[in-house]
Amino acid sequence: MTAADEVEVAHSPSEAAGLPLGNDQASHPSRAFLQRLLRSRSGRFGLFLVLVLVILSLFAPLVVGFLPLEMNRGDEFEPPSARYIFGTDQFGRDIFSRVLYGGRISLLVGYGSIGVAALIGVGSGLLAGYLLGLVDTAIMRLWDVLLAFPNIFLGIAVVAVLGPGQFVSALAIAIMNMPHFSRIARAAVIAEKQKEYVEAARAIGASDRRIVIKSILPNTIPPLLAQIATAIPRAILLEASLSFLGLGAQPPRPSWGNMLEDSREFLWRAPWYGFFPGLALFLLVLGLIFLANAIRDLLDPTRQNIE
Amino acid sequence: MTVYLLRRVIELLPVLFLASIAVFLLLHLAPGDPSYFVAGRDATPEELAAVRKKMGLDKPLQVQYFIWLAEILRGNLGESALSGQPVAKLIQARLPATLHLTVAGFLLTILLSLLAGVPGALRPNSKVDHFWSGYSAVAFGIPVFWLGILFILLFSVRLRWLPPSGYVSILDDPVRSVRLLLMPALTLGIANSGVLSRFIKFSVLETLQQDYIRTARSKGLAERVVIRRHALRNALIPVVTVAALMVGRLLGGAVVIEVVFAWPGLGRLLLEGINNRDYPVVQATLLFVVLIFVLVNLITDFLYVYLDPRVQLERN
Repeated sequence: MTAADEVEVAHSPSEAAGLPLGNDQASHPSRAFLQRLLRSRSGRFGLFLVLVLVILSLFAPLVVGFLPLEMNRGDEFEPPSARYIFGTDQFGRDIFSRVLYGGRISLLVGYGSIGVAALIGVGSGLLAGYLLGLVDTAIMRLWDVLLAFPNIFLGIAVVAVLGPGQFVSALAIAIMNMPHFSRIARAAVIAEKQKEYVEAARAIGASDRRIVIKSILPNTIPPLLAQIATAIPRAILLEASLSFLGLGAQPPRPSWGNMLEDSREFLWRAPWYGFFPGLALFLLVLGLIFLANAIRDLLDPTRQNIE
Repeated sequence: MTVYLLRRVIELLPVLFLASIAVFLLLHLAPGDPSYFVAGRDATPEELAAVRKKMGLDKPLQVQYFIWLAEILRGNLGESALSGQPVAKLIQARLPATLHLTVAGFLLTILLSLLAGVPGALRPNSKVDHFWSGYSAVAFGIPVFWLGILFILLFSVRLRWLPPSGYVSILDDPVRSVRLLLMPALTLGIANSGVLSRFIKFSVLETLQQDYIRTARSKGLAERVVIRRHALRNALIPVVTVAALMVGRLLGGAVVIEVVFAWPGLGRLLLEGINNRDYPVVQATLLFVVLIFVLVNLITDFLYVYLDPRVQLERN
């Protein structure tokens, strides 16, 4: 980011986000946003790491020569080599293949759970903020109770009821993220509701639903986007933690968490087994964090001066 | 001040009440009647009925809840469905290991965060700043359990300096206790310092821009005095509250780390409870954790008001 960028004063979140103010910036808002993202060093670095890992995971069959469950007799505990670049595990399975396929679970659970959390969280937040009263109290109390459980313990509680598995752990992660989205949406509605344009919309006879969806919702997007960006790396870490604890995706299906759990027994014989799945997880999370920082800086003009 | 604090306590009661209902319902939402686990798989219907009666499962749900709550308030956390031992005893047995880990982890978190947060704020964009910023990013993104595994690979497998697992109380054998504690506590400390060091850095940066810092400088105070007495003191007020909130992360991190280092703490007790479908153990441990978490939040609020009188004025 150049000095000129930093001096530039943003007057509104949408302007800071690179959204066009007038017709002079002809490009689509999302493209303008991407351009500004790529201009920041942390945005470029984050996007690069994430894209590499996403592409490798999605196109795993084209990249690796082994299936993740394929056991190669006689090749147990092979150290990294040209044939098995991350080595093999106790069943002679190719760790590189398992890491790439395992990445799919991380990505799916990470993005999926946050998507669901955002949808339900924002919906309930809009409802609470617009209606206030009893509905508001009920919804917010529910979130208070959820927030009384530290994250991992909420996950453990959900698994205790529904049993382990990737869908349950995704659900648990979605549930523990809902309060944050709900609170942001609610606060935004309450703030926006008092502004003149909402009053104007009401004066011309717009229905409640229309006001919330057409007038208020778009204004809540910048803070929600920032929240989504920061929540995803956390969700991916949490998924890995839960599956490391044996509560998420179950073996033999590979996930980074359950591979690391499995590797603990063989750290002396096969140190590479404990290394590569964690490295993949670390790089993905790091990339997502850098991306989130860049996105947050673009959306929040006050932070730009500090960093 | 008393009014504010009292109000906070009263506000917490419904949350605790609802959380206790949630934890209680765990047992009843779970597939399969708990009596099956106690009576065993080949129990006859008569035996099952007897167990249900003994466990109070034949009563209406709300009655069961209040009986359960009353027992808990009297300090009776129930008995393990597996071993029949009182759950309170099991928790008591595991608590010291978790305390060792979380207290040492907390101290290291604070130490590492100050080390990583303050120098960068005092000399922004210097080499020191870049180094510690990099450290914070890595510490924030690194998976706790992978960091633990890396430590074992380095210090136990390769260098053979430290034992990879086990726990001894510091009261029984201080030297061995510290050797065993070193890796788990450092793992916990590093993982948590990622967030806290960034927070400290921004807090110090912001404080340094305040008018009273300029005043202190312009009246000719030595820079060292300005930093120590004026900047750091004020910058660390918000840090106290975040550091206390870390306890939630600390407890969560401790569960994972207990598994990595085979540490016999509460986290492992909870996981064993889940694997054995030992619901009384799961319920009591969860309730215990929630209680600690909520209490820490409360203490944080108290500390905040105590350290920064402005908060109280704003809220009144």
